[in-house]
Amino acid sequence: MGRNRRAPHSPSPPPQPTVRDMQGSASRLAERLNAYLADLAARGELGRATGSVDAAQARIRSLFGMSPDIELRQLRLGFDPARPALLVYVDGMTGQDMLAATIARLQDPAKAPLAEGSAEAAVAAVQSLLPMGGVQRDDRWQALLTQLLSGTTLLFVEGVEAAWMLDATELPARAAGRPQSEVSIKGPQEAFNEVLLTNLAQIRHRIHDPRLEFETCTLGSYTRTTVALAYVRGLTNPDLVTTVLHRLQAIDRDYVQYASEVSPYLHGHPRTMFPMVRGTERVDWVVRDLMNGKVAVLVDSDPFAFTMPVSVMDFFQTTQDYVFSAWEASLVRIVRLLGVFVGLYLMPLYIALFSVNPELVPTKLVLTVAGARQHIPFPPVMEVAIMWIIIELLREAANRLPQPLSTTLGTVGAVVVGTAIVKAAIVDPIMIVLVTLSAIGLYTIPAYEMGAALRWMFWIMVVGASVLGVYGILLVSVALIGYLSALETFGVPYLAPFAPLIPNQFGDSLIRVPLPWLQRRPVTNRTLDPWKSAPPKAPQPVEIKNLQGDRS
Amino acid sequence: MRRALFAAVLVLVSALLGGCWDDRSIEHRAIVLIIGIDQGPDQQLMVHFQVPTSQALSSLSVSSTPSAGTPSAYVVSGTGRTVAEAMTQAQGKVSGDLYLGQTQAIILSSHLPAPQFASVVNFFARMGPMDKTAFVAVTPEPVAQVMQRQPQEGMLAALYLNSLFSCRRCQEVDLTRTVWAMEMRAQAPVTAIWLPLLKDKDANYQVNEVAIYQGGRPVMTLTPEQTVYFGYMINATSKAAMVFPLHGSPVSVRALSSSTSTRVLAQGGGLHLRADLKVQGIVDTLAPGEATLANLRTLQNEVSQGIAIQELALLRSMQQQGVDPVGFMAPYLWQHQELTPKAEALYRSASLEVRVHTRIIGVGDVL
Repeated sequence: MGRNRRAPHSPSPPPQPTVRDMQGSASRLAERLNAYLADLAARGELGRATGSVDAAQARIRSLFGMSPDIELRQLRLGFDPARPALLVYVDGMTGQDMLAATIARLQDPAKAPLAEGSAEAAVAAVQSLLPMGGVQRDDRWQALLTQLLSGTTLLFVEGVEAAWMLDATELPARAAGRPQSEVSIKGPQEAFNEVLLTNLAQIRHRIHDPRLEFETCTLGSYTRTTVALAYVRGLTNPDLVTTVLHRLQAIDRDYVQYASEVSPYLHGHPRTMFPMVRGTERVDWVVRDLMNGKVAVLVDSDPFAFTMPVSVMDFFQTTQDYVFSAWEASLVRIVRLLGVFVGLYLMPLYIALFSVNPELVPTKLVLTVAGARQHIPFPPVMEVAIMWIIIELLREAANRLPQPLSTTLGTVGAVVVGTAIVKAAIVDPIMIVLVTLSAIGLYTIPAYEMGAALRWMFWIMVVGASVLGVYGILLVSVALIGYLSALETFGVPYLAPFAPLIPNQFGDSLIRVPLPWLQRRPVTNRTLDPWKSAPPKAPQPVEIKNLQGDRS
Repeated sequence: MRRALFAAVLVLVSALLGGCWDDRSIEHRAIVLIIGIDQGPDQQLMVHFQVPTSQALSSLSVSSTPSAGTPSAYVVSGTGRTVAEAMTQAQGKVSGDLYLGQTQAIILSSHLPAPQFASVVNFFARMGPMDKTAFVAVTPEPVAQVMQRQPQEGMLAALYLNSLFSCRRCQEVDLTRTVWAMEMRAQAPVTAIWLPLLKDKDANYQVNEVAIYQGGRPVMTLTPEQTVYFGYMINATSKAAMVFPLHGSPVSVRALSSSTSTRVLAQGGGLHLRADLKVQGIVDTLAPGEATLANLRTLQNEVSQGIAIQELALLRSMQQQGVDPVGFMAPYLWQHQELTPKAEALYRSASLEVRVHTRIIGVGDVL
């Protein structure tokens, strides 16, 4: 219904079809019908190949018209007598070298065995000329066309009521690069790319165990996008795998391009502003989550995978936390959480304390702020709104621009706008400090999607602060904690390990204890194998002897 | 849908009932830093509100000192039968909202009659925006004149007084008195209120005396020396010093502080009031050879005797006036409420005893 709905305020009525247009449409319809009729006449049904190269060519032409990327190449196979054949492939998705080698083998009479004219003989002869691997045969048009559009080359041979599907796929892809959105100073620097097979191979490269399994399904009635579900058999809870797989298979969409289009169908909370899956482009992060008993979903054409189920601490952990010492990791993690509190509460507190509850502020600070605000025409809440809109505009503009320009824009925006707006007495200098600290605080969160949710929460806090002061902030905080406590995915509480309290998971939450102490997988994931490692043993003292003897 | 509607109604009701509509941001408020209350004409109160000038605020926000000769605060005054009425009158003289939430000090005239004093205490007990931590002091001088005084240190008078009273161990005797403490003692029988006396010395504030109030009127004023001994009794002394002769030469004991406990004992129909003071201090003027145990014992006895004599004299003078600012009687009366009507008579006729135990905890660098 929605697909056919017209825009309510279209600027001009659609052009009326002319007689010439109608003639063209009728001619294309006739061409398509003729192609179908040929198949129907030959085999009595429309869904299967007939063995006629001309009919196959007509069918493909009728389906794709003159699409420039669909290449049809007529051949004469080097049999005696020469047999017509048709090679169909999508230009740009096929390896030209492999294709040329295959064509050369098929046309080379020296290599062709004698054909006896029958279809079976032709099949055997063609089969012997094709490479050993990556070759399948099918006669169903539906399967053939799906494979063709996935990059497979189709080979029709006159008299053979099926087509060969040759895997000469060579998809356009960039090399696996460095992660752009999850940078780590140390540790692996490998990110996924847009080709699913490459991504699966990258995971396989890190888990050399047959228990790593990938379940795939195809989503999108037009895009036919392959989506893979990765998990470790014997480790991940089978109920989790089955549920996710069923939900994946139940997705009914026209098209799927991004992993983020799939995730709302899986976690069961499509309306929440808080992220319910952990998106990542890092291979090592997916592997880590798999080894913690989670599942990962990878979508062909999207370099971002996501893992689930999640709890809130998943969005504050990074690769860097596990490649540095426990002290460094714990410090950085505390700083991140501090950043969240600063980002979320600093400006609402400013509004609450200087608009509603000034009696709670030390006198010297009140006088300082009152002095700075003397000539400011707006109340603090408006100042916050103005500054935050400027920050968001700068951020969005920086995202849209190329890297060198965005850096310039950020600098210019921060320095020029900040200085000018204070000189123009639109906001006070303290506000510049607070906005900067808040923005920096919120951007310390490693997971971008959590940052977006907290930016919304920031505004709710601002409203609460401006209406009810400090009491409003407390009220919103209590409501937020209550809401998050009730949130869960696949039975994993969102606030775990704090609500409910799970002390043995504290070691990898606010702080990160030394890795030998992290022996258990998160119990909330309900893994089949709860132990990651054996308890550390105290090393026996070893005396290293001087093997060269005592020279004294 | 119903839940969303319910949430929207909750938010709306919170906003409407929260009283946010009459909130004013800080720059629209006239921040009252000191309230002064004096006797007005026709048995009325004259209330003064000290508010910082915009120049002073600007100088604070850019961390500079205000230019010389520029007043850092102005005073708005109003008269009325109550503080509230006077405040309403004063409000008409300023554009901003007179805001009492940051009041640092309340200066009361020592000439206020008892009913007006009681009315003032009652007003501050019920004043919502004030958090009752404002410091209270009395002055025998005209309050308006005291409030116009500019501290030598160049800062706002309120910040000076705040600094003076906040630092509990910076002065010889901590004479901090807050609205809250004044309220607590105002209603107790016999128990008197003591308030620091704010005086002018060389155009600057001087606080080294105490006025003792009973029933809303000042009964007696302690001299600076008596104030120090009073400080020992209420555990408020931290930097006191005394000089004693030792073998003919003066020896000073400094950093004297005390820990006092009081007891009331019933004796043959009367009361016996006993104060135990544990005093400690540091000697740092002893000659190197004189820091012996015998000398220190002698010194300790001297200090104990000296303090005990002065304390006893002070307590007797307060007993004669029938005031008990130290608070001997309050715990006793909690247990013997039937004696409350004749508490003053009992206090006046009670025998007094002061025991002082002094300990020298250091002799400068020579240990």
